[in-house]
Parts: sequence; structure tokens; C-alpha cells
Amino acid sequence: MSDDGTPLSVSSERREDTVVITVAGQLDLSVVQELDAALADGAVDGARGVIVDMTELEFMDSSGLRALLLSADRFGTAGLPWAVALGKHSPVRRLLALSGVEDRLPLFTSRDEAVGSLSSGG
Amino acid sequence: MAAASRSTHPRADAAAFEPGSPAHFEALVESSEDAILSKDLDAVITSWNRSAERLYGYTPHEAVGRPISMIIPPERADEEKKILARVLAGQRLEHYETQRVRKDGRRVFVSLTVSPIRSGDTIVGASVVARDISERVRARRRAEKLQEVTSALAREAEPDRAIEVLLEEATEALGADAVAVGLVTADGERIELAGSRGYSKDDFDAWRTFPLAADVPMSVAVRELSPVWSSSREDVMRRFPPLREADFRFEALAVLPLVIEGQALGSVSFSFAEARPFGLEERAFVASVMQQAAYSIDRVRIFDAERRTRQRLAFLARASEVLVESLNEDDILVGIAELSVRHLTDWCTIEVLDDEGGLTNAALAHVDRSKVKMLGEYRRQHPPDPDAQVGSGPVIRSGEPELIARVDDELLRAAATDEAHLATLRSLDLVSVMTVPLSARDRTLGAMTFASSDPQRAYDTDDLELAADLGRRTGQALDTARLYQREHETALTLQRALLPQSLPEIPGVELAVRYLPAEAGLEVGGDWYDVLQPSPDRVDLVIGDVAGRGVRAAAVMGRLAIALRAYALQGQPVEEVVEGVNRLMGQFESREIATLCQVSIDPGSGAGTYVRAGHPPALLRAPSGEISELTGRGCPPLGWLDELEPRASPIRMEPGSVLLLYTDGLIERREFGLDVGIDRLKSAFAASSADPRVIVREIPTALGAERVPDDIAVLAARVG
Repeated sequence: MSDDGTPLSVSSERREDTVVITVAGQLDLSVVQELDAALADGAVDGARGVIVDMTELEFMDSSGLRALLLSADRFGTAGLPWAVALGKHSPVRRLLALSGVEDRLPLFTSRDEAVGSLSSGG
Repeated sequence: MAAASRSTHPRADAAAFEPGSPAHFEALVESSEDAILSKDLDAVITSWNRSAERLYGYTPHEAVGRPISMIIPPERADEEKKILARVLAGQRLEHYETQRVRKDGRRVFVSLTVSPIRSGDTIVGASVVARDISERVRARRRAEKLQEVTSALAREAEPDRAIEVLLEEATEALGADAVAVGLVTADGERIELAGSRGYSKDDFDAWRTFPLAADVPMSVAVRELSPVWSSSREDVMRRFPPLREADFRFEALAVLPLVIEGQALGSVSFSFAEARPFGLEERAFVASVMQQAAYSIDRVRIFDAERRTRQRLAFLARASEVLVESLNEDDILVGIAELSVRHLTDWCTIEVLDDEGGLTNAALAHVDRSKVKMLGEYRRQHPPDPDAQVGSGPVIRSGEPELIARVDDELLRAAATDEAHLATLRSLDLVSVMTVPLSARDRTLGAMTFASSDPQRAYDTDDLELAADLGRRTGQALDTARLYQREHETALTLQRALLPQSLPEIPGVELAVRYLPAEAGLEVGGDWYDVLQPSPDRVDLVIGDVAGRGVRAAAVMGRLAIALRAYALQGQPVEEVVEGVNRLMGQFESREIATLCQVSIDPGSGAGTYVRAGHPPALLRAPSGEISELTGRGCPPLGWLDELEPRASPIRMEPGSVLLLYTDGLIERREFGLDVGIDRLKSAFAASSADPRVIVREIPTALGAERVPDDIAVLAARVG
């Protein structure tokens, strides 16, 4: 239903052992399967780390939240380090805070920080 | 050369034929194929040979002594002076092409060679040798005309225009009084007039279409691939008996087939008001013009067919877009009917089969918007009869498209149920009608009817094929929309069944709830609400939201709502209720995420606790009007962590305060962040009445929530 805003764009690339997923625009139920596909097991197979860059994400609804939480679950079980880049004042960060999950997700305020967290942690 | 005047009386004197003798010379003149005459300086004819007689029609006796001006056309009167002036100057005039008038008044093209006649040093007159070049001039003109026709036809890319040019040029080329072009129909059974000149409307209507097998000139020319030349009325009547019955008002007739690769596309008929012969050259010329016309029509048809193919593909592509734009049955059918009247037809109606086997009009469009109402009225008064012989009924029964290329009055009379119906049918100006089935998965769901009111626009098999293709696509879209609608209704039914049908009556607590389903066509959401009274001193208000949509989300919501009730009614504190529900979710076969806010209040004291599990904060309005958010940290959403360890937060409701619980659709907008959404809600809440029923009615409307593509639940409770 993203007929009144920037459409969602999801791109995924591998940098050495890390999968970097960039999510931009507006994320809602009608397009969430694009993010689901990028985060799916097959898509991050063999990676030693996953970065989800949401710094350009303008809007996210509860379906996006669900995708993130379920991924956190899977990555946690698989022992796969991951990090989410999200601006300090991003509207998406506000949703995560209201939902009580801000402290429980590996959030960083920039992509560089997110990448750095993986190398230092791994 | 004065003796020349006597040269018209040849003498049979053999001695006079001595080469070089005047007699020999005279004999040469007399036997010449060229017309030879002489005239004096007063432009009076002084001699006139036999060929001159043949050319101009005057005998020597009639001509000699008369002024030369008698054979000069009035508009060329000046010509003679100029010729004489040159002769007086001693010059010869060679191969001067001009026109002369015969005794019978007809014009003749001649090439003149004029030489001075001298008597000693004095010029006394002129000799004129005239050669008849009429045939040459006509041949040249025909060649020019042919060139002109060919290039005129070559410029045209549309069949109608090519026919117009053909009519125009052909009329002029033959000097016909009336011309008609007929083309063989696609089924090869008939000839249809494509255009005409010079015939009355009645004539045209009477001959608009006729069988190829008929013994009429245009059919015969096509069948025999050869021209018909008939120089007199008697001949026409003798050869074509059917014309004796017809009101044939002409005296001569020429009909030529339009032949391409041994096949006749049609024929062209020329009618003449006066009897006339058709010369060989003229026949050859007209045949050449017709050959060019046939090439041209063939080329234009191929071009037109390609263009139509392109247009059809573009139309179907656009139709496919319309068909996927909506999952609503009515929107789809109305969209397709509207699109059809823009590109394919003058009017379009769509009938769908209802459960009882009756036909319901689902869409109706007319290219002229002012006629939509009239058409609607007509359809209302004369709904399509499933048992009729033509139209939607039989097409739906058989699943086969139907084409009525030309609607005639006989057909209308057969279709009409009474005189009034017949009058209405006639007023619709039906020219051509086709009906195609809407089919999907081997079933016919309805039929689409297309009608043309344009006499120039009769549907053919190509149109029918396109319409049938559109019918298949529309049928499939309709089928999908219905399946989707059925699933949507199932989910909606399930959701409604799972939500409380009514709120309990609780002394000291005023309650109101409102559930706004997302706009039709969208899947149901997993929003839910509940109000429980585990004990007289405890009222639990619950609002929750399962992430996702459709039957699955509704089913999960139902299980959560029931589990929560069970735990709460056992009297467990809210944090234990939430923990219990979360633990139950761990047993689900698929991972689900849900947010929840449960507030538990003692209506007597107004004291209570609440847990917010990832849900947007509920709002509390104090009697003073001050609004606070219930931002207690609670716990993350349910279904995510094995152990939620929720923490309850305290809440106190003074008498007269109002609690507002809601799901995220009320505050979530793309245009601004959640904080702005919550601020807007707070403002609306502050400005609203203290009556929960008014609150749940007014606040969603104030926030424009009706247009949000998400389900919304709002629950308001007032204490005291």
C-alpha cells in the first residue's frame, strides 16, 4: 500500500564474509516479503555476520518489526552475529522503543558502527 | 498554288501523274492521311482535302470559301491571328498542338504544321497540315490520370480514406454519374458496400449488402474475375434479371473487379445516365486504374491489419492493468466496461450469473456519458433473459462468443417482447453487436456485450476474437476476485466470531468499543479487544494486535484471546497472565508476534496495574482533562522470547477519568512519526467528550482512521 511515499527498496550484497542488507523507503505489510527474503536463511547462508542498514528507512509498521524480531531469534539460535544500523532520530527507532525492543536488538546509529561492532565482537 | 482550290476534283488523267507535276502533287495531297487545307490572308478556306473532311466533318463544298474560324473553338479565337502573324513573317509553325471543333460540335485534338504560301516574293496564304492526335492526347491524359490516381491512393493509409480517393478518382476518370465500391466480406459470402457517390440514400441502403451468389453485376464481376461492360439499359436488363425488379435508373454500366493475386477483394460499379459505348483503350485504362486501386486497398488493408494488431495488443495490455488494479468484483467489471467504450465499442454491458441462474447487470458504460442513464433504464426494464435466443443467455449456456455483424430490423423484431420494447430497441441505433463469455476454470461466470452504433463500424471476426480474449481475461480476474472475497469473508467471519459480541455490564464502569475493519478488499487484521471481570473488584481491559494479516492472523488472535481469558478468569495477576500467554505461544507450530496491553482495575477504588507488551501506550485522561501515557516498560512483544518476565506498572483512575486503549492503526501514518501520531491522538482525546461511546465514535473519524489500510480497535472505559 505504499502508494503515497518512496517505495521500499531492499538490496543485499556480500562484503567478504558479511552480508549487508540495505533497506530504504517505506516498509509495510504489502512489501515486507522483500525484507523477509533478504533475511531468510538461504540468503545469509555461509555468512559470518549480517548487517541490516536501515538508515534510509522512512517508515516501518508492525510487519517490519515482526521480520526483525524473528530474524533476531534465528540469528541468535544460529550464533550468527548481526547488527542493525538505524539513525538516532529515525522514526523506526521510535517504533522499536515503543515496542520495548530497542534494548534487545543490536542497534547502532550508523553503518560503520554496525560493521565495526561485528569485527570487534567476532 | 492557286490550283489547290481545284484539287478537290481529282482527275483520272494518267499523264497528270507525272512526278513533280501539279497533278501529281494534288493527288498526293488528296490521298494523304493528314488533313491538308489552305487559307488566304483573310483566313478564308481555299482548299480542303478528303482527310480534312474526315477530321472535321465538313465536305470540301461546305468548307471552301468559309472562314477558317468555323473550326476554331471560341476560346481559341485569338490563336488564328497569332498563326497568321507568323505566316506573314515568313515563318513555319510546326507541330502546334491545339483543339478544333468538328461540324458535329465535338472537339478534336490536332497537331498543326502551318507554312506560308508564296506567289513570287509575296505571301498570299497559308497551308495547314493537321494530324488528329486525339487518341494520343487521351492516352497521355489517361497515363497522367493513372499516375495521379496511383499517387493519390498511395498517400492513404486508412481503408476508408483509400475508398474515398478511389470513388473520387474513378468517378472523374470515367465521367460516371454514380460509383459504388463493394468489398467481399470476411466470410466470403457477401459483398458489402464500402462507399458510393451519386446514388440516393435509398439506393445505397437497398444495396448496402448482398450475396456474392446473386446475379447482380458487382457479384458477377467478383465471381468471374472479369469486368462487366453494358452499354445500354436493354443490355443491363437482359443480362441481370434481378435489376429488372430494382429501380435501376441508369442507361449504361461498367463494373470492374478489384483483383489481387487472382482473388477479387470486391468490385467497383460505374453507372451512366446516358447510353454509351466503352472503347478498348478506355476499358484498358479503367482496368489499369482498378488494378492500382486493388493494390492500394490490399496494401492499406495489410497496413490497417498491422495497426489494428498493435492497437489490440495495447488494449489488452491496458485491460490487464485494469484487471489487476482491484480485487473488488464491481471495480473490475466497471473498469473493463469503461475501458472498452474508450477503445472498442460504443456501449458495453456486463451480466453476471447469480446463484439462482439469473442474470444480473454488473456494469454498463456508453461512450456518450449522457446515454448511460438511458441504457441503464433500458436494462432495468428489459433485463437480459437467460432463455433468449441471442445475447448473454445463450452465450453463457454455450460458452461460445456470438457475433451479429449487422443488426437488421428483423432481428430486433425477433428480440423484442412487445411493441414498446421494439421501439426502444430501434432507438438504440444498434449497428453491430457481439457477446462473449466471461469464463474461468471451465465455467462461465457471465457475459460481456459490445454494441456499435456507428454505421461505419460493423464488428468482424477479428473484433470478436479480441472481445473473446478480453472476456477470458475478465473472467479469470472475476474468479480470482471472488476467491479472494470468499477468503476475506471467511477471515472476517472468523474474526467476528472471536471478538466479544457484546461488552459486559459492569457497575461503575462505562465501556465502549469500536472495531474498524480495513477497507474492503484488504485482508483482515489480527487486532483484538476484550473486557473481562474475573471478580467483582477486578475489571480487565485488553487490547492486542497479532502481526500479519488474513485467516492465519485472525486464528492466532482467537487462540491468544481465549488463553488470556482463561488465565485472567482464574484470577492471575496481569503479569502472570501475559507470561502465560507468551509461554503458550511458544507451543505454536509457527512463530507469531503479538503486542498487547492489559489493564486491570478495581472499579471501586480506581487502583490497578497494567502490562504493556510492545504495544503503543494506552492513554489516561484525568478528570482535570490532563492526559498521560501509560508508558510502563512492561515487556517486549509476545511470542518473541521464551521468558518475557513482564513487569506490571501501577495505574490509578480517579472517578471521572477515562482510559483509552487502541491498536497502532490509529496513530501510525506514513506522513509523520509515531510521536506525532500519539500527540494527535492526545489532542483529539483531550478535545473529546467524557462519554466512551462518543469517544470511540469521534476520535477515529477525527484522525482520518477510516481511510487507513489497517484494522483498528479502540476501547474506552470511564470509571466513576
